[in-house]
Amino acid sequence: MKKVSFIVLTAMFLVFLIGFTGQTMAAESSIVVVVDSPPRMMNPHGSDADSNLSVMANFFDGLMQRKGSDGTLEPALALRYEHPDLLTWTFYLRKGVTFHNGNSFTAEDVKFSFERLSDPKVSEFINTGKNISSIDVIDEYTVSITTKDPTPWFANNMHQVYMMDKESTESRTVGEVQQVPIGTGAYKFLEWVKGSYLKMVANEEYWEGAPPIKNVELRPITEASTRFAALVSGKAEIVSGVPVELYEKIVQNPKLDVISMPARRSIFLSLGNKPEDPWSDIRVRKAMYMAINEDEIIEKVMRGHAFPASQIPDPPTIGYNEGIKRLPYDPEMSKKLLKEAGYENGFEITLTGPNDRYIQDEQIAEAVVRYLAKVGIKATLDVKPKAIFFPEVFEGKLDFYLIGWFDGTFDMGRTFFKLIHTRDKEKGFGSLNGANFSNLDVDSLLQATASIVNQDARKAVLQYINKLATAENIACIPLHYQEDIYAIQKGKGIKFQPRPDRWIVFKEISK
Amino acid sequence: MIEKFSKSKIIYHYLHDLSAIIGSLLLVLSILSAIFAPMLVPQNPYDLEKVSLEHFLTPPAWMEGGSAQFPLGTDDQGRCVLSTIIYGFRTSLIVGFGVVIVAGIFGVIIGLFAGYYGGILDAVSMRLADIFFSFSTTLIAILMLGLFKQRGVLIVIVAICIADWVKYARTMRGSVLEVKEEAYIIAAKATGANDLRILSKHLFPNAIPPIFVILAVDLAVAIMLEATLSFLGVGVPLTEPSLGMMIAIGKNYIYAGMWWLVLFPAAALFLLVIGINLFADWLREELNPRIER
Repeated sequence: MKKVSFIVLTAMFLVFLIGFTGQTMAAESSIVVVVDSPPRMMNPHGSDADSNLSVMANFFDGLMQRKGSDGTLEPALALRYEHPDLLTWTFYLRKGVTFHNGNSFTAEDVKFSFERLSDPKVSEFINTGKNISSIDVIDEYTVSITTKDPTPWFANNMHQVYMMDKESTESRTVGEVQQVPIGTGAYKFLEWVKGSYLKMVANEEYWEGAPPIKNVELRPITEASTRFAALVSGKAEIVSGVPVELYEKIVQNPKLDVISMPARRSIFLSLGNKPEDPWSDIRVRKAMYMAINEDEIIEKVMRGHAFPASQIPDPPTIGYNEGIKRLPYDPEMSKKLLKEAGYENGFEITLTGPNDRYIQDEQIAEAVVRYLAKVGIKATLDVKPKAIFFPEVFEGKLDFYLIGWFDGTFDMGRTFFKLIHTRDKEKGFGSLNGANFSNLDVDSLLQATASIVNQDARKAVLQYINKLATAENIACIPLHYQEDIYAIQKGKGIKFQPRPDRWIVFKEISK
Repeated sequence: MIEKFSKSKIIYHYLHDLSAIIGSLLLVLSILSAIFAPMLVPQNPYDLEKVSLEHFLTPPAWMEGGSAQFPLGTDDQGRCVLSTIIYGFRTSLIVGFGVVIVAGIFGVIIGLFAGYYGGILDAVSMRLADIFFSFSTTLIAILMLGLFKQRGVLIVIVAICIADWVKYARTMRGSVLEVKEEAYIIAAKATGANDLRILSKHLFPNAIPPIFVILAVDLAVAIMLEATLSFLGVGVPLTEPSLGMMIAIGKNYIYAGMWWLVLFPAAALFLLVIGINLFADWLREELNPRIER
């Protein structure tokens, strides 16, 4: 009797075991990814923050997409496009694409999606939307878009303008659209608990072929040390935003691999130039630049995980100018320049910045304030959460602030209009020129670039503008390019290649 | 004679109460170090010209890589941890005493008038107190700090006071209601003394003792509250020393193995608060006539 029960128990145990292994095998193509910033909503036009666009790239597709480690522009929902004159863009759409609800993707959806961009209630792509004068459906798979102003970078932006289903977006309320995404993307929406997790499953009918990983769970964890704990305990397989202070610990951990990649984003200090301020004097601007020991910031504050920058754009961006060099760190020269300008005893200035946006943002700002103090400039530090800081930039209330930037379209024309063109609320220029930098030469040259389509000519003009603004007028004090650091679990066969825009696109990951 | 007797009794009790001695020693020590901070510390951590990233994250002196220049190590900006703690005491005690004095005076005046006059004044001020009582003090302070655009020690004091005056007002009112019925007050009224004289000469001195007990306990509460607010990033600005802020900065480095950034300021805060509490306990027993020793 005892023997029988033993056999039964063993058999039950074995069945149990097999059941479990079966389960683990099924779960093999699933992955848990931890990111540092949560998505705000599931409406693909509702937020132009990278943290949101990155997530939306899995549910939706744009007319174009960016692929690989260099971010080359490739066709997505449009097979190709034509740009017959300065204002017209004609897109030829891919046939046979369906949305997650079974509706097929046609030119009407494209028209609808672009029209939606200019509705401030559901879109943060207002500038793109307002710049469109007409959208003509030529046939079911051809759309022609006419812009109001010449916009040479129009197609470059098409990877982040996502196409929505006209029928299901119109039939649902705004609130429902914000909760449940219906796109053409490689993954279908499963469940979202705001601030906690987002689950998605592979779209087996995806036009590019079904993605290799079937189940994805995205967990946003904003606290750096909690993110680290999730990684070390094995709860997460890929973690983005590894804090630099924990880098050494993660490298030493035999279970983890660390992947780092130079980021496109540069960190710089925007500096206004209102004539009444001491810092409108170019000598003072140079003195402030030369007072900052950027090499020490990179070595100590960034733990070596950053690269010195001499300008805002990164090398692949049109307008990057190799000829611009960093001013050397030279506190003696800095003091001399201040003396020449008549500010031997310094002056007072407030350095504003976010404390929850960029890698070590608060610490960088603190270090800058100290460098300035050493040459006699009394800088007050005013760091605050990004939710308070960014509105202040938009309102143009600041004098001197730390901010980061990279241009998703790889064309500085668009960026310079926002960052260094004189503020002009009506025309939407200088919307992010929070310190009111103004230079009329820069403005007029920038306006001239809008109608230059020839890439070589654009490049030459934008490089010149860059030099004029950054090197000759010190519109900003560039600091460094960040480095994106990811950690992945070793030995699970995860293949992951970071992207220059820091998005995590799950169809590019395999296991 | 009587005065001399009671004085010696207090001293006698004090000398025979170990926790009172330890508590007061800790308190006096931290007050002295806060006052003489500039003379004591190896480095003024908030003199922007002195601090340098060169020495960032140095471990405590007895560890490998440590330096005698920084006995308890440095933080991620190269500030000496020991010096920052001593300067942090300054902020803690300024906020603590500031709150106790301002909220105390304000609360006592409201309680005195509400208790003595009663009526509409009493009803309004006490319902207001009820409203404040039903929220956590931390929450009220955070809300207040949200309203102020600026950051600074003074703002923190004001924010904590707005949340904190209730205790004093309530206690004082209760005490006044009790004393008000005493024969000597009625006698004073019968002699035709005016309200001002009754309030200041008779009511106030006899109703105030319970407040002293709250004062001592509240000092510790205010210090903890300042540390909490600064830890949460809504207290004093980054450029001012604060124990709570040090702990907040240090918590990012716990996993990186740099424990000294958190442990020392946390221990300092613990010792300061426990010192005040031990002393407050003794004071309460001493001032409470109902406890016979």
